Amino acid sequence: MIATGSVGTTSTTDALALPTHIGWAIFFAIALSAILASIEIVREAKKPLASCMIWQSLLYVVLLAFGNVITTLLAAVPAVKTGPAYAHYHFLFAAFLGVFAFETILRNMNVTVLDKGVFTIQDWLDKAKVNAAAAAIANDVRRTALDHGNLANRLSQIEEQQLNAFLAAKMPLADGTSIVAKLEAEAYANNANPRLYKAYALVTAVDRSEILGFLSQHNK
Amino acid sequence: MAALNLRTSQVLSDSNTRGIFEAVAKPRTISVGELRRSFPAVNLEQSIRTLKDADLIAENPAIIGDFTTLYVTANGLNVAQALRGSIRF
Repeated sequence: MIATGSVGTTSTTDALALPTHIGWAIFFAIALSAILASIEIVREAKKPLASCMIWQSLLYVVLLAFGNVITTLLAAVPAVKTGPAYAHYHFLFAAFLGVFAFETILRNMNVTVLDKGVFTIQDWLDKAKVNAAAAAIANDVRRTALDHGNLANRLSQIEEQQLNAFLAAKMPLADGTSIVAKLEAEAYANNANPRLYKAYALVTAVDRSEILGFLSQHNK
Repeated sequence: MAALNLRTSQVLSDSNTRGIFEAVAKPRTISVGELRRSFPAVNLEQSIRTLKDADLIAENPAIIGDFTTLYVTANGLNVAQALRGSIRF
């Protein structure tokens, strides 16, 4: 039964009373789930948050939020028992208690029937997290490749002699032969634009900040 | 290794291939050039092909072979998790 008192108050006589701001408790539980999921995916993928913003991550957030919202609803009843003095904060207690309960108790719950795991929340969450992390890694590789393409296009517009000088300075070959001549030969062998080919070689080998510094010197 | 399937166990039974897998899985992405410097005496191409066939790693090719990026797949992350007891990721 949901308390029908004024906003921010609850009936302490009713054992099943829920915080009047149960909607806020659910909102906080979902927000906490999103934060926790982001931290876990970034940690698993070891890639920046921007690369982890993909629909596979959303799937993990939804799964985590589902568990956290359920435990938040369950925690709402004991949260009310903190008394009317804290009525304005019942929704916060409920959200934190719920998320804590899910993270520590339910996640480690493993119900088995005939030695078969039928209720292994941790397994489901792990699978969703690993899929999200793997997709984030692949996304990061794609984003990096796209960034390299853009940088290579900008580099290829620089006067060729300057590009060659930068290339020779940044990618000297150990055997003393010319990297410029080597890349040009490879480009011709592949029927590729030599300037773009050399630019691609540079962006994949040289630190991004150095490339950007070189481009800014040449107003590209 | 109990959680690994037979095929994965066979692939990782080769110490060089397992070493290369660990070198990719730990940072999640690595260039072929960095691997070549870490494993100078290993037939890298063969091990990479084996790991790719087992769906443990994937690659994003670059113009220069050494700058090709290798990255761990979802299957590779699961295997890395299973191996976590013996190596630190």
